[in-house]
Amino acid sequence: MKFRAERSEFADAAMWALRTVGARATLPALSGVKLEVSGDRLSLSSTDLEIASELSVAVQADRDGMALVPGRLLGDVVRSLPNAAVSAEVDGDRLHLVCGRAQFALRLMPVEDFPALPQISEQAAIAVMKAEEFARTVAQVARASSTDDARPVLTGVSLEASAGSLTAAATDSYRLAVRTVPWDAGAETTALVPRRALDEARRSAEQLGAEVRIAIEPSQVTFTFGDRRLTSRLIEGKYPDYRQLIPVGFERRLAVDRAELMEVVRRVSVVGESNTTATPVTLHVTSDTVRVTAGSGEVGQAEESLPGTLEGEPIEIGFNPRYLSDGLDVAVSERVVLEFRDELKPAVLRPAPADDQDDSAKEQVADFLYLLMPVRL
Amino acid sequence: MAAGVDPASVWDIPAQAHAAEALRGAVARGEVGHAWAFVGPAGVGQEAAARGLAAALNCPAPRAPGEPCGRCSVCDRCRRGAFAAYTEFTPTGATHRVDDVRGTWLVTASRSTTEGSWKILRVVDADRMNEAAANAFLKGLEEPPERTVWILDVADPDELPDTILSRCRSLMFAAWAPADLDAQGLRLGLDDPADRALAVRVAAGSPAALARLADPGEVGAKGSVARSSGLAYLRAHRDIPARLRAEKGFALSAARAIDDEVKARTALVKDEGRAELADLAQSYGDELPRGIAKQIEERNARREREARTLVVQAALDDLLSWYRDCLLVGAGGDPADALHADAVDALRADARALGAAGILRAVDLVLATRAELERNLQVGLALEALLLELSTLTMAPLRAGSR
Ligand SMILES: [Zn+2]
Repeated sequence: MKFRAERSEFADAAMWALRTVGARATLPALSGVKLEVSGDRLSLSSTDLEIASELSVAVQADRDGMALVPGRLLGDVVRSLPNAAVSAEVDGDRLHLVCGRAQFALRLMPVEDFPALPQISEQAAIAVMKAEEFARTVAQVARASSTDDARPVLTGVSLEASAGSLTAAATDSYRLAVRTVPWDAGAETTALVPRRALDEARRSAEQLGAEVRIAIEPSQVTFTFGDRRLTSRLIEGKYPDYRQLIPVGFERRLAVDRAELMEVVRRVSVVGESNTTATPVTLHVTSDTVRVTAGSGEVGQAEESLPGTLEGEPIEIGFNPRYLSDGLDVAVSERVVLEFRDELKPAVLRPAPADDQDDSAKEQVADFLYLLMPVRL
Repeated sequence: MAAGVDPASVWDIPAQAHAAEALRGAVARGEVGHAWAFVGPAGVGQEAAARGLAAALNCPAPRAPGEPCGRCSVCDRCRRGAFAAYTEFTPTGATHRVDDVRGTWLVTASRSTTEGSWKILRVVDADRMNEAAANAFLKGLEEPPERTVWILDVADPDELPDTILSRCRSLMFAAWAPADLDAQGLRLGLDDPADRALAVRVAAGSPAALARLADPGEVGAKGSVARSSGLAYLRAHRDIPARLRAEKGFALSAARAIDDEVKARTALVKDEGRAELADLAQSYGDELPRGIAKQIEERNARREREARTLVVQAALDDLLSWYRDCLLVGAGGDPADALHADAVDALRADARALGAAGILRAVDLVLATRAELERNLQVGLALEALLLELSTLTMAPLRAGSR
C-alpha cells in the first residue's frame, strides 16, 4: 500500500474514523484503524463492534493494499503533522508516514483480525433527511432513553418507518419522547438503535451538515453523510408498546412560556439538589398562574410563580424536576402546552405553535410529544 | 494452527469426540438451542468446542451440515477466539460480578450481529458466579435473543442454581484418556518414554497438569527466576518422605523448596501477564485504556493467586500419590499399577520404613492440609507444620508395627 494525500484531508478523515475505535482486551484489532487503498481512493474504517465508521478520500494512489494501524498512535501522529502533503507506504511490518520533514513509523497490526464491516443490502429501507432535522430529532428524543443496562431495550431509541413518516421514540419508563418526521421511503420497518450510536450520528450530522441518508435493515442501521458512513448494530428484543401510554384527550390544558417555566423549575429545584433522590417539584396551576414549589420543612423550601393560561379545573401535580426540565429543554418552541387528566395520570408536554408561524412551522412543532409520569405527592 | 495449511475439522478435539459429535449433530439438525452447559473438569477441551461451535454456525462455506470449512477467515478467527460474534467472559476477580453480567454480558447478548449470523457467548468458569450475578444472568437466560447461544463452562454443577442449569442442555466433558495425554506429551516435547509415561500417569486426565509437568524449566538468566523442569519438581516432592528420614532438619528445607517453587512458577505467570500487557499496550499506542488495563491486571492477579494455590496443591497431590503407592507396594500389590511405577525400589523402602499405619497416618495428614489450604490458610505455615509432623512420623520406628 502506498499513497500520497493532502494533509488536512487525511488528518480530518483519520480523526473522524478514530471516533469509533474500540477497546476490548480479547480483540486488540478493534483498537486499530484500517486503511485501504483501492483505485484512487483511500478508505479508513474502525469499529468498536457496536458502531463502525467508514469514509473514503481521494488520494494519489501508487499501490493498492491495506493496513491496520494502532488507532491511538495514528491519532498522535495526525495531530502533529506539519503543513505539507502526506505520503504513506507500507514497508515490512511498518507504515511509514512522511510529511514535510517529519517521519513516522507505525507498527502494523494483523489486518485479518479486523472484523468485516457490514455493507448496505439492496433490501434496505433508505430515506434521506436534512442533517439539521435529523440532529434535532435525535436531540429531542434520545435523552428520554434509559441508562440502566438491566433492560437493554430501553437503552435504545426506537425508529419506526411507515409510508411517508419516521417515528423516533425513547422511554426509560418514567418519561417518553416521541417525534415524527416526514420520510420518503415507502417500506415499513423498525429498528431499535443504541442511544450512543444515535448520538454519534447526531454529532456527525451537526458537524457535516447537508443531508443524511438513513438505511434501516433487520440487523443494522446505517447513516451516510456523503463519503462518510456510520453503521450501528441494533438492540434485539421487543420494544414496549408506548402508544398505549399516551392518553387520548385531556381535562386540563396549560399554556406557558417555555424558557420562563424552565428557569423557575431550575431555581426552585435547587432546594432538593443535595438529596440523593431528586426532590419533586409541585406545580400548583390555577386559571392564570403557575406556582412552583419544592422541598419540605427539613431540607428547606422554595417557591416561585409565573403566569400561565389554564383551561379546566385547577390542579396540583408533582414531577421529577430533571425529567420536567429535560422535556422543556427539547420542546424548542417559545410556548409549550401541558395537558393533564389528573394528578396521578401522565402529563403530556407539547410545543405550542406561535400564532404568527406559517403552516409548515406549525407542523414541525406539532409532531413532538413528551410524556412524563407525575410523582405522587 | 493456520487455516489453509491445516484443514483439520474444528471438531477434531482431543479426548472429546462425544461432545464434539453432539455439537456437530445439533448444528447439522438445526437444533442448537439457546444454552449449553459444558460440564467437566476445566481445560479439557471446552474452549476448542465453543470456538468450533462458533465456526460451525458462522462459516459461510461449510463442507457439510455442521462441518465448517476450517480454512476461511471466519473459521480461522473463530478458532483463535477473535471473531466479532464470539465472546468469552472470564471472571476478572475471584468470581463473576453482577456489574459484568448487566453491563457486559447482557448488553452483548442484546445486540444484533453485523458479521456472522450467530452470537456465541461463552462464560468461562460459569460456576463462579456469585448469587447476584447468577440472578441477573438468569433474567437474560429467560428471554434469550434469537440466534444467540450461551455456553457455560461448569466444573462443579452444584455451584450453579438449578434454575440456570435447567435452562441449559448439559454436555459432559471428560478427563483425557492416557492415550490422548501420551500424544499430547509427545507434542509438548516429552520425548523420553519413561518420563512421558510418568507425566501421563500423574496428570490424571488433565492436559493442564500435563503441560505443567512438561514444562522444561528455565536456567534463570538475568532478570528471570530459575525454574526446574516440571518433572524435576515432581521427583523432588516424592523424595520428601525418604529425605525426611535421612536428613536432619529436612522438613524446613523441604518447605522452603516448595516456597521457592511457588515463587518460580508464579514468576512465570507474572512474566506472561506482563508480556501480554506490554503487547496490548503497544496495540493501543503506549498506554492501555484504563478500563482494559484494570481488567487485565485484576485477571493477572487472579491467575497468580491460582498459580500459587496450584503449585502447593500439586506438591501435596504428589505426596499423596506417593504414599498411596507405598501402601499398594507394601501390601504386595503389582508395582506396575503404581503411579510411580518408575521408582519401585524407593516405594518399597518408604513402605518398609513407615509401615501401613504410618502411611495411613501420613495420608490423613496430607489430606487435612490440603483441605485447610482450600479454606485459605497461610500456605507457608501450613506446609511447614505438615512436613514437621511427617518427619516425626518417620522418626518413630515404634509405629512401624508391620516390620
Ligand atoms: Zn469456514
